Amino acid sequence: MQSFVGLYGNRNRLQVWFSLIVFTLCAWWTLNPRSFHLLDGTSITLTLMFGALFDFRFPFNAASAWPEAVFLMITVSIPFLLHVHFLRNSLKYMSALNLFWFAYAAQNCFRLLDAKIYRWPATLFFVLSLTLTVVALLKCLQNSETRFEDGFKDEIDEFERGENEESL
Amino acid sequence: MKSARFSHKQLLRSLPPLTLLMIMILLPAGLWALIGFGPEYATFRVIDAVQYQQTGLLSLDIEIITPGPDLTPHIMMPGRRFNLELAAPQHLELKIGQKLRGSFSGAIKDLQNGQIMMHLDPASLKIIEEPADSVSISYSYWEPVFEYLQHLKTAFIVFWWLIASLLIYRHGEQS
Repeated sequence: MQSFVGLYGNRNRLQVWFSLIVFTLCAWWTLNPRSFHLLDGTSITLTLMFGALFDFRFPFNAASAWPEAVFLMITVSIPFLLHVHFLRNSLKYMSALNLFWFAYAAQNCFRLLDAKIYRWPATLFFVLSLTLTVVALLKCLQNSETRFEDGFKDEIDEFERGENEESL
Repeated sequence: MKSARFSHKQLLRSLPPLTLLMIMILLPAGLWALIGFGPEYATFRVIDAVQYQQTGLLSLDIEIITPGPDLTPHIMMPGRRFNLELAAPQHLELKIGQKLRGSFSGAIKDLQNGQIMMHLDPASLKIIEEPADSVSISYSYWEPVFEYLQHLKTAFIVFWWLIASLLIYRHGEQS
Protein backbone atom coordinates (compact mmCIF):
# COMPACT_ATOMS: atom_id res chain seq x y z
CA MET A 1 0.00 0.00 0.00
CA GLN A 2 2.82 2.38 0.90
CA SER A 3 4.53 1.76 -2.43
CA PHE A 4 1.22 2.28 -4.22
CA VAL A 5 0.59 5.75 -2.73
CA GLY A 6 2.74 8.32 -4.50
CA LEU A 7 4.08 5.86 -7.05
CA TYR A 8 3.75 8.44 -9.82
CA GLY A 9 4.21 11.49 -7.57
CA ASN A 10 7.09 12.84 -9.63
CA ARG A 11 5.15 13.03 -12.89
CA ASN A 12 4.45 16.12 -14.94
CA ARG A 13 1.23 17.55 -13.48
CA LEU A 14 0.08 19.03 -16.77
CA GLN A 15 0.10 15.61 -18.43
CA VAL A 16 -1.55 14.03 -15.38
CA TRP A 17 -4.42 16.57 -15.40
CA PHE A 18 -4.83 16.23 -19.13
CA SER A 19 -5.08 12.44 -18.99
CA LEU A 20 -7.59 12.67 -16.11
CA ILE A 21 -9.80 15.04 -18.11
CA VAL A 22 -9.60 12.83 -21.22
CA PHE A 23 -10.39 9.79 -19.06
CA THR A 24 -13.45 11.51 -17.57
CA LEU A 25 -14.85 12.42 -20.99
CA CYS A 26 -14.11 9.03 -22.56
CA ALA A 27 -15.48 7.06 -19.61
CA TRP A 28 -18.63 9.19 -19.64
CA TRP A 29 -19.13 8.51 -23.35
CA THR A 30 -18.46 4.82 -22.88
CA LEU A 31 -21.03 4.65 -20.09
CA ASN A 32 -23.53 6.61 -22.22
CA PRO A 33 -23.02 4.96 -25.63
CA ARG A 34 -26.00 6.70 -27.22
CA SER A 35 -24.49 10.13 -26.72
CA PHE A 36 -22.20 11.71 -29.30
CA HIS A 37 -18.55 10.77 -28.83
CA LEU A 38 -15.99 13.43 -29.75
CA LEU A 39 -14.24 10.95 -32.07
CA ASP A 40 -17.56 10.41 -33.89
CA GLY A 41 -16.81 13.76 -35.48
CA THR A 42 -13.65 12.26 -36.98
CA SER A 43 -15.48 9.18 -38.23
CA ILE A 44 -18.29 11.19 -39.83
CA THR A 45 -15.88 13.67 -41.42
CA LEU A 46 -13.98 10.78 -42.96
CA THR A 47 -17.21 9.23 -44.23
CA LEU A 48 -18.43 12.42 -45.80
CA MET A 49 -15.00 13.01 -47.40
CA PHE A 50 -14.58 9.53 -48.82
CA GLY A 51 -18.31 9.08 -49.39
CA ALA A 52 -18.01 11.45 -52.35
CA LEU A 53 -15.35 9.21 -53.93
CA PHE A 54 -16.51 5.73 -52.94
CA ASP A 55 -19.92 4.33 -52.20
CA PHE A 56 -19.35 4.20 -48.45
CA ARG A 57 -22.32 4.72 -46.24
CA PHE A 58 -22.66 5.41 -42.54
CA PRO A 59 -19.75 4.03 -40.53
CA PHE A 60 -21.82 2.41 -37.78
CA ASN A 61 -23.53 -0.14 -39.97
CA ALA A 62 -21.66 -3.28 -40.94
CA ALA A 63 -24.84 -5.36 -41.16
CA SER A 64 -26.00 -4.61 -44.68
CA ALA A 65 -22.99 -4.71 -47.01
CA TRP A 66 -19.21 -5.01 -47.24
CA PRO A 67 -18.47 -1.28 -47.87
CA GLU A 68 -19.53 -0.50 -44.32
CA ALA A 69 -17.29 -3.21 -42.93
CA VAL A 70 -14.37 -1.95 -45.03
CA PHE A 71 -15.01 1.58 -43.86
CA LEU A 72 -15.14 0.47 -40.24
CA MET A 73 -11.82 -1.35 -40.72
CA ILE A 74 -10.25 1.82 -42.15
CA THR A 75 -11.58 3.95 -39.30
CA VAL A 76 -10.41 1.44 -36.72
CA SER A 77 -6.98 1.11 -38.35
CA ILE A 78 -6.17 4.80 -37.73
CA PRO A 79 -5.35 4.33 -34.01
CA PHE A 80 -3.22 1.27 -34.88
CA LEU A 81 -1.19 3.31 -37.38
CA LEU A 82 -0.87 6.13 -34.87
CA HIS A 83 0.21 3.67 -32.19
CA VAL A 84 2.99 2.29 -34.41
CA HIS A 85 4.07 5.84 -35.24
CA PHE A 86 4.21 6.91 -31.60
CA LEU A 87 6.07 3.79 -30.49
CA ARG A 88 8.64 4.10 -33.29
CA ASN A 89 9.35 7.69 -32.32
CA SER A 90 9.37 6.76 -28.59
CA LEU A 91 6.46 9.12 -27.86
CA LYS A 92 5.35 7.08 -24.86
CA TYR A 93 2.77 9.46 -23.44
CA MET A 94 1.10 9.90 -26.83
CA SER A 95 0.96 6.14 -27.38
CA ALA A 96 -0.65 5.76 -23.95
CA LEU A 97 -3.11 8.54 -24.78
CA ASN A 98 -3.89 6.71 -28.02
CA LEU A 99 -5.35 3.83 -25.98
CA PHE A 100 -8.42 6.03 -25.47
CA TRP A 101 -8.94 5.74 -29.24
CA PHE A 102 -8.79 1.96 -28.96
CA ALA A 103 -11.47 2.23 -26.27
CA TYR A 104 -13.55 4.23 -28.75
CA ALA A 105 -13.03 1.51 -31.38
CA ALA A 106 -14.28 -1.11 -28.91
CA GLN A 107 -17.22 1.15 -28.06
CA ASN A 108 -18.10 1.32 -31.77
CA CYS A 109 -18.16 -2.47 -31.92
CA PHE A 110 -20.49 -2.36 -28.90
CA ARG A 111 -22.72 0.15 -30.65
CA LEU A 112 -22.82 -2.01 -33.78
CA LEU A 113 -24.26 -4.95 -31.91
CA ASP A 114 -27.81 -4.80 -30.76
CA ALA A 115 -27.22 -5.39 -27.04
CA LYS A 116 -30.70 -6.84 -26.60
CA ILE A 117 -30.04 -9.63 -29.11
CA TYR A 118 -26.27 -10.17 -29.14
CA ARG A 119 -25.99 -9.98 -25.37
CA TRP A 120 -22.62 -11.60 -24.72
CA PRO A 121 -20.63 -10.09 -27.59
CA ALA A 122 -22.07 -6.66 -26.75
CA THR A 123 -21.27 -7.09 -23.05
CA LEU A 124 -17.72 -8.20 -23.87
CA PHE A 125 -17.09 -5.15 -26.07
CA PHE A 126 -18.61 -2.86 -23.45
CA VAL A 127 -16.38 -4.29 -20.72
CA LEU A 128 -13.40 -4.14 -23.10
CA SER A 129 -13.95 -0.46 -23.88
CA LEU A 130 -14.42 0.39 -20.20
CA THR A 131 -11.28 -1.57 -19.28
CA LEU A 132 -9.34 0.17 -22.04
CA THR A 133 -10.27 3.62 -20.69
CA VAL A 134 -8.95 2.62 -17.24
CA VAL A 135 -5.80 1.03 -18.72
CA ALA A 136 -5.27 4.18 -20.81
CA LEU A 137 -5.51 6.36 -17.70
CA LEU A 138 -3.01 4.24 -15.75
CA LYS A 139 -0.68 4.03 -18.77
CA CYS A 140 -0.85 7.80 -19.19
CA LEU A 141 0.09 8.30 -15.53
CA GLN A 142 2.92 5.80 -15.87
CA ASN A 143 4.29 7.24 -19.10
CA SER A 144 4.01 10.95 -18.31
CA GLU A 145 7.34 12.67 -17.99
CA THR A 146 9.23 12.63 -14.71
CA ARG A 147 11.01 15.84 -15.59
CA PHE A 148 9.27 18.12 -18.02
CA GLU A 149 12.65 19.38 -19.29
CA ASP A 150 13.19 15.94 -20.85
CA GLY A 151 10.55 16.73 -23.43
CA PHE A 152 12.40 19.85 -24.53
CA LYS A 153 15.95 18.52 -24.13
CA ASP A 154 17.14 19.47 -27.62
CA GLU A 155 15.61 22.92 -27.43
CA ILE A 156 17.16 23.60 -24.02
CA ASP A 157 20.56 22.40 -25.23
CA GLU A 158 20.30 24.62 -28.27
CA PHE A 159 19.25 27.58 -26.13
CA GLU A 160 22.12 27.04 -23.71
CA ARG A 161 24.61 26.66 -26.54
CA GLY A 162 23.37 29.93 -28.01
CA GLU A 163 23.75 31.70 -24.68
CA ASN A 164 27.29 30.37 -24.30
CA GLU A 165 28.19 31.59 -27.76
CA GLU A 166 26.78 35.01 -26.90
CA SER A 167 28.78 35.24 -23.68
CA LEU A 168 31.93 34.29 -25.56
CA MET B 1 -47.35 42.21 -50.18
CA LYS B 2 -44.52 42.93 -52.58
CA SER B 3 -41.89 41.99 -50.04
CA ALA B 4 -43.77 38.84 -49.20
CA ARG B 5 -43.80 37.83 -52.85
CA PHE B 6 -40.13 38.67 -53.09
CA SER B 7 -39.21 36.46 -50.12
CA HIS B 8 -41.37 33.71 -51.58
CA LYS B 9 -39.45 33.95 -54.84
CA GLN B 10 -36.18 34.02 -53.01
CA LEU B 11 -37.16 30.92 -51.08
CA LEU B 12 -38.12 29.13 -54.30
CA ARG B 13 -34.79 30.07 -55.83
CA SER B 14 -32.82 28.79 -52.85
CA LEU B 15 -34.73 25.50 -52.66
CA PRO B 16 -32.91 23.50 -55.39
CA PRO B 17 -29.41 24.13 -54.02
CA LEU B 18 -30.67 23.44 -50.49
CA THR B 19 -32.26 20.18 -51.61
CA LEU B 20 -29.06 19.25 -53.42
CA LEU B 21 -27.05 20.00 -50.29
CA MET B 22 -29.42 17.91 -48.17
CA ILE B 23 -29.15 15.03 -50.66
CA MET B 24 -25.35 15.29 -50.61
CA ILE B 25 -25.27 15.19 -46.82
CA LEU B 26 -28.08 12.76 -46.06
CA LEU B 27 -27.54 10.14 -48.78
CA PRO B 28 -23.95 9.16 -47.88
CA ALA B 29 -24.98 9.23 -44.24
CA GLY B 30 -27.83 6.82 -45.01
CA LEU B 31 -30.23 8.98 -43.03
CA TRP B 32 -33.03 8.54 -45.55
CA ALA B 33 -33.15 4.81 -45.27
CA LEU B 34 -35.96 4.51 -42.75
CA ILE B 35 -38.04 1.72 -44.20
CA GLY B 36 -41.29 0.71 -42.56
CA PHE B 37 -43.08 -2.61 -42.99
CA GLY B 38 -46.08 -4.52 -41.73
CA PRO B 39 -48.56 -5.07 -40.16
CA GLU B 40 -48.16 -8.76 -40.75
CA TYR B 41 -49.19 -11.86 -38.85
CA ALA B 42 -46.45 -14.24 -37.76
CA THR B 43 -46.06 -17.20 -35.45
CA PHE B 44 -43.38 -17.02 -32.79
CA ARG B 45 -42.13 -18.61 -29.59
CA VAL B 46 -41.33 -16.77 -26.35
CA ILE B 47 -37.76 -17.74 -25.43
CA ASP B 48 -37.29 -15.50 -22.42
CA ALA B 49 -39.21 -12.68 -20.80
CA VAL B 50 -39.14 -10.29 -17.90
CA GLN B 51 -41.68 -7.91 -16.40
CA TYR B 52 -41.10 -4.38 -15.10
CA GLN B 53 -42.90 -3.25 -12.00
CA GLN B 54 -42.61 0.51 -12.58
CA THR B 55 -43.90 0.69 -16.15
CA GLY B 56 -45.91 -2.53 -16.30
CA LEU B 57 -44.16 -3.39 -19.57
CA LEU B 58 -43.04 -6.84 -20.66
CA SER B 59 -39.67 -7.39 -22.31
CA LEU B 60 -39.95 -10.45 -24.55
CA ASP B 61 -37.25 -12.41 -26.38
CA ILE B 62 -39.00 -14.10 -29.26
CA GLU B 63 -38.04 -16.39 -32.13
CA ILE B 64 -39.96 -16.29 -35.42
CA ILE B 65 -41.31 -19.72 -36.37
CA THR B 66 -43.53 -18.99 -39.39
CA PRO B 67 -43.42 -15.56 -41.02
CA GLY B 68 -46.44 -13.99 -42.66
CA PRO B 69 -47.45 -15.00 -46.17
CA ASP B 70 -46.40 -12.07 -48.31
CA LEU B 71 -44.42 -9.30 -46.63
CA THR B 72 -40.74 -8.84 -45.82
CA PRO B 73 -39.42 -12.41 -46.12
CA HIS B 74 -35.86 -11.10 -45.66
CA ILE B 75 -36.71 -9.60 -42.28
CA MET B 76 -39.18 -12.05 -40.77
CA MET B 77 -36.99 -15.09 -41.32
CA PRO B 78 -37.78 -18.32 -39.45
CA GLY B 79 -35.37 -18.63 -36.53
CA ARG B 80 -34.70 -14.90 -36.31
CA ARG B 81 -34.83 -13.48 -32.83
CA PHE B 82 -36.19 -10.16 -31.67
CA ASN B 83 -36.51 -8.34 -28.40
CA LEU B 84 -39.86 -6.63 -27.96
CA GLU B 85 -41.30 -4.38 -25.31
CA LEU B 86 -45.03 -4.34 -24.99
CA ALA B 87 -47.76 -3.67 -22.47
CA ALA B 88 -49.03 -6.85 -20.81
CA PRO B 89 -52.08 -8.06 -22.80
CA GLN B 90 -55.37 -8.11 -20.88
CA HIS B 91 -57.04 -11.09 -22.54
CA LEU B 92 -54.37 -13.75 -21.91
CA GLU B 93 -51.41 -14.55 -19.69
CA LEU B 94 -48.09 -14.72 -21.47
CA LYS B 95 -45.65 -17.42 -20.42
CA ILE B 96 -42.10 -18.36 -21.38
CA GLY B 97 -42.16 -21.26 -23.86
CA GLN B 98 -45.56 -20.45 -25.38
CA LYS B 99 -46.15 -20.51 -29.12
CA LEU B 100 -48.20 -17.49 -30.20
CA ARG B 101 -49.53 -15.66 -33.20
CA GLY B 102 -49.62 -11.87 -33.44
CA SER B 103 -49.56 -8.83 -35.69
CA PHE B 104 -46.09 -7.34 -36.26
CA SER B 105 -45.08 -4.01 -37.69
CA GLY B 106 -41.69 -2.36 -37.75
CA ALA B 107 -39.00 -0.26 -39.37
CA ILE B 108 -35.35 -0.55 -40.25
CA LYS B 109 -33.57 2.22 -38.41
CA ASP B 110 -30.56 2.96 -40.58
CA LEU B 111 -29.84 6.18 -38.74
CA GLN B 112 -27.51 4.64 -36.18
CA ASN B 113 -26.74 0.98 -36.73
CA GLY B 114 -29.35 -0.60 -38.94
CA GLN B 115 -31.35 -1.93 -36.02
CA ILE B 116 -34.78 -3.31 -36.75
CA MET B 117 -37.44 -1.74 -34.56
CA MET B 118 -40.24 -4.24 -34.14
CA HIS B 119 -43.67 -3.60 -32.69
CA LEU B 120 -46.16 -6.24 -31.69
CA ASP B 121 -49.82 -5.42 -31.17
CA PRO B 122 -50.77 -6.93 -27.74
CA ALA B 123 -54.49 -7.07 -28.66
CA SER B 124 -53.79 -9.31 -31.65
CA LEU B 125 -52.05 -12.05 -29.63
CA LYS B 126 -53.43 -15.56 -29.76
CA ILE B 127 -52.03 -18.63 -28.03
CA ILE B 128 -51.41 -21.51 -30.44
CA GLU B 129 -49.58 -23.96 -28.25
CA GLU B 130 -48.74 -24.03 -24.54
CA PRO B 131 -46.22 -26.73 -23.58
CA ALA B 132 -46.40 -28.22 -20.09
CA ASP B 133 -43.02 -26.74 -19.14
CA SER B 134 -44.06 -23.10 -19.79
CA VAL B 135 -42.99 -20.78 -17.01
CA SER B 136 -44.79 -17.63 -15.89
CA ILE B 137 -42.93 -14.34 -16.35
CA SER B 138 -41.12 -13.01 -13.28
CA TYR B 139 -40.22 -9.45 -12.33
CA SER B 140 -36.89 -8.00 -13.41
CA TYR B 141 -34.06 -8.70 -11.00
CA TRP B 142 -32.12 -5.59 -12.06
CA GLU B 143 -35.00 -3.09 -12.00
CA PRO B 144 -34.18 -1.64 -8.53
CA VAL B 145 -30.66 -0.80 -9.80
CA PHE B 146 -31.92 1.26 -12.78
CA GLU B 147 -32.75 4.12 -10.42
CA TYR B 148 -29.13 4.41 -9.30
CA LEU B 149 -27.54 3.82 -12.71
CA GLN B 150 -26.51 7.44 -13.22
CA HIS B 151 -24.98 7.57 -9.73
CA LEU B 152 -23.08 4.33 -10.40
CA LYS B 153 -21.64 5.82 -13.60
CA THR B 154 -20.47 8.88 -11.71
CA ALA B 155 -19.08 6.67 -8.92
CA PHE B 156 -17.01 4.72 -11.45
CA ILE B 157 -15.31 7.90 -12.69
CA VAL B 158 -14.85 9.33 -9.19
CA PHE B 159 -13.33 6.02 -8.05
CA TRP B 160 -10.61 6.19 -10.73
CA TRP B 161 -9.96 9.86 -9.93
CA LEU B 162 -9.37 8.74 -6.35
CA ILE B 163 -6.96 5.99 -7.45
CA ALA B 164 -5.13 8.45 -9.71
CA SER B 165 -4.85 11.06 -6.96
CA LEU B 166 -3.40 8.40 -4.64
CA LEU B 167 -0.90 7.40 -7.31
CA ILE B 168 0.30 10.96 -7.95
CA TYR B 169 0.37 11.96 -4.24
CA ARG B 170 3.63 13.65 -3.26
CA HIS B 171 5.09 12.73 0.13
CA GLY B 172 5.92 15.64 2.43
CA GLU B 173 5.32 18.27 -0.17
CA GLN B 174 5.99 21.84 0.95
CA SER B 175 3.89 24.56 -0.58
